[in-house]
Amino acid sequence: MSNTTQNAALRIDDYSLAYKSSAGVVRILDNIRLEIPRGQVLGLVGESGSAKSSMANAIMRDLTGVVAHESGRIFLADTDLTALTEKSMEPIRGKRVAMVLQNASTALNPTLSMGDHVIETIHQHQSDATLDSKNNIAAEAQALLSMVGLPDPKAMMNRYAHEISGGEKQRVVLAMAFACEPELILFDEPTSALDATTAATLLDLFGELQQRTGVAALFISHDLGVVSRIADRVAVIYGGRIVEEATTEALFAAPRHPYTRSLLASLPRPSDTRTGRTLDTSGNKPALRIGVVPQCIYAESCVSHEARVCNVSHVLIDEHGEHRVACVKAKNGSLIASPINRLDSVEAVDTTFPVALSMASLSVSYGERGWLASLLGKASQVHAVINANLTLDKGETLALVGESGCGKSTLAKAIAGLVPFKGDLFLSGNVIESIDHDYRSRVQIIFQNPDSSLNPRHSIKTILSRPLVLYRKNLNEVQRTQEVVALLERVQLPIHYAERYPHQLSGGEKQRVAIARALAAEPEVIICDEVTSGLDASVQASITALLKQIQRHSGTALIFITHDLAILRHLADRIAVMYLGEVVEVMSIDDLDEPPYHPYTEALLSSSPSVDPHTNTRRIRLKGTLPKRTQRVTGCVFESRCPHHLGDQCNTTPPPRVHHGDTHEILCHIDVATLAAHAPVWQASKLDTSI
Amino acid sequence: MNSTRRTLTALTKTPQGAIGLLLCFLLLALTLAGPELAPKDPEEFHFTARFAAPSTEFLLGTDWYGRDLLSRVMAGSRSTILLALLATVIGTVAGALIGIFSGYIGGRVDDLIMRVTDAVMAIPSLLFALLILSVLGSSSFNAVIAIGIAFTPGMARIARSVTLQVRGSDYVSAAQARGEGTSWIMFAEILPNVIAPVIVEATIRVAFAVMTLATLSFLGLGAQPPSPEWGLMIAEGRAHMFRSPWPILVPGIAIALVAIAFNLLGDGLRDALNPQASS
Repeated sequence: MSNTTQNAALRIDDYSLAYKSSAGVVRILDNIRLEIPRGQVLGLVGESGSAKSSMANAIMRDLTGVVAHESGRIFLADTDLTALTEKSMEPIRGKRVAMVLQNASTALNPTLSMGDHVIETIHQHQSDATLDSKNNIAAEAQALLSMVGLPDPKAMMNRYAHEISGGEKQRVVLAMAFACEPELILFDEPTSALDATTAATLLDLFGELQQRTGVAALFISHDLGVVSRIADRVAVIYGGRIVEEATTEALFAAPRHPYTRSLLASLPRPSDTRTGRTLDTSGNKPALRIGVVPQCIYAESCVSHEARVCNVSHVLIDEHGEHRVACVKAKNGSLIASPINRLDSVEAVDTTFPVALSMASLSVSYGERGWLASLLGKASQVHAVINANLTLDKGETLALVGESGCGKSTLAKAIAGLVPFKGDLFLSGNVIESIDHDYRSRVQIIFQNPDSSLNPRHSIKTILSRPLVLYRKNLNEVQRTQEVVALLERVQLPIHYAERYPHQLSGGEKQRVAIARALAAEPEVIICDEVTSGLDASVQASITALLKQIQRHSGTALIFITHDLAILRHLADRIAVMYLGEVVEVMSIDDLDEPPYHPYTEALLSSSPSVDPHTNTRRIRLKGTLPKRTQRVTGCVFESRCPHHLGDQCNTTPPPRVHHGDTHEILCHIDVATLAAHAPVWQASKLDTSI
Repeated sequence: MNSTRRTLTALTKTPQGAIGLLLCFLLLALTLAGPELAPKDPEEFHFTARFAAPSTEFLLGTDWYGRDLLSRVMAGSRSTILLALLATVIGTVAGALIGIFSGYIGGRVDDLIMRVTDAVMAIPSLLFALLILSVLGSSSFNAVIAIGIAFTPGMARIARSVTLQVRGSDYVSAAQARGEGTSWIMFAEILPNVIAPVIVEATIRVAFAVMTLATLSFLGLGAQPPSPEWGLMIAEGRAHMFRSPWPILVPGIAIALVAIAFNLLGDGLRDALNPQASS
């Protein structure tokens, strides 16, 4: 490694950082040793709170807290960034180091056009800008916009942030980052806020631009699947320390650090159905940041931890090496191999389950037809859900999949009785005339964000006893307290949490409380609206396991709404795919690994990032734009982006609902046999069963 | 309660909060024990010491009848501060209820209520209070009612704007999906989350109430002589302003002090009750 030092775009030498807080000195980063050679991409992976974003801030010299202690050095080529003053750092930002943040909509100024953004960036770093060069800069900006694959860059120059989509905004930010031909680009979760299909095309674009320009990059993400696609090498950060660093292939195929192993074990893979692998749900405790410095940062959560061996000295990552790791036991080969979980033999599914919930031509429209608007002919209604016909059997899990804005959450809200709908809803075969008290007690909803679904001013006990007061009126005060305790036990939370308030709980714990609240009513149907989306992978795996366990015990039917396809293999029995308000495909989970698919499902499956050494994913990328939501599409909803577009009939005629077998429905003009002949999205590469 | 203690701790961490809290405690003590602690009888005339400057005998001087100003200010604190607090409480409770109701129900009802409050807010609060007093007749109690009503629209506006944010939260949706009644959602789900900015606004309004009450008394529409109400003391002292400044200065400073104390407390509370500030 020392001989490559001259070639490093970025070199971080034993960098440590600590902030002051009211609770004492908080360790943020601990002895970071990293190096990014020119032209390479280093992925930095960690869960929430692992200080991965603080790493980017430290490189940018934009320290967000009150510094208590800082040591070590950060070199950009030959420049020591830690020694620079704020003034001498200014020309480096943007010019030599560019940054791409998660949220493009806040990174762009709503009062400037896209062209102005790029021109401004070029202008800032050109000291010799004269009047004559103004036209050149504009031309250069337009070239940059076309370089990042924006359609019609000339028109894009004059557009404003609210006029373009999220993916297009992130492309403009990317153009700004590349504008000054920087040596290094820092990416902080650049695709996390985007839909899977958009994120996939953006990652491809970045890979292509990176190869063309040879820029070095630090790619920060919580999503190992995304990082595995883009990075040459990957560093894993936990509690502010790098615990492992290796080439992408080596790290994912043969992880050495126990933390990396547990992280990978909690991630779902496309091959899980074939291999029968289950997810690790043990979860990791957050690292200690205040007080005594632990010798090994992972000691608290490590299964292999032995004080005698591990606590001898400060466990740090090797300074040199191809596959560096910060673990004593990994180095001397005495790690306990984590057991490979196998699925229990699947119980024979009773297909005679009576139907729990069903809907006939359920539609939801938003937007009022105000008298003035209709007078002016401007009445605009958004058709959020169009003629949904779904059934949910007792005790089964139906997954509702789709990208943002496809109407899946609206459908959930309609079933939960939160938005009015047209069409019919049946519960246990009886048509629901109005959403009444009885219906509400039998159908419960859990929201995506537990931070906002639990009232911050109520104790957990109050939160859990409300449904008991409402639905189980025969319980007295004492019985209610007992029931609250029982509910906490069912979601595996300590009993004393009853006295706590939501802000004293972690994200995963809050979601468990939300689940307990839904269970309190002893419902027949629980709607889970993206309940695992905001959570770390290990927490997501344990919440999924909890839901499955609850379902096995109580026979509750679940509607599980998600944009993340990977987790479905561990949870769902059937899948309904939604696109622009329409259910385009319904299939059983067993059909997920083999065609036929609806063309949209195919693209969605291909875009879902995953780390799986057993599988090769066929690449399908969507082009084209989404139609306006206020227009009713005459033909197929997916017509504008479909890679298998047939021609006129797709534009003008609504596609038929074609059945393939008993459980598989596809809404498409293309013949099922043709769709079935498409190559599968996943192909098993090597089916060895280690790790 | 736990959260009350947490708020108080956070309050003492900012300088304005700490000073405001201290001053308010002193004023509260004055209100409770002031009349009993007064060194002299506030109504007693000392004809030999009219218009006396502050001295060891009369710590803050005397007025035109030779009444001890310190004793009068202390005796008057109860009526002045308590009446101001009462007026604020009336305005706050009524305003918060109207605001939460209007914000949560929404639609036409909301439109109607808000247009009415806009109309009321267009009239300056002093003029509005005068209007009410001219109907009800002049007395301390009626002045309190008048100020309370004049404060209500502003409070309703604030409570409504926060309610509109809270109403979109998932916990309100969760309560609706659960089939909770309107009163539970308004009082148990929304109210605790709306109360912080309302309390902050209320503390600032106390200062306004003291001043408006003083102004009403000054105009002769509130307390009647010989009551030691501070505003009334200034009004009466005006005639003797050029003989001695003390009869005006002493109650004037007392009013300013109350206004500053509650303003500081309000500033401090705004920081202390901000959930982003306290983790």
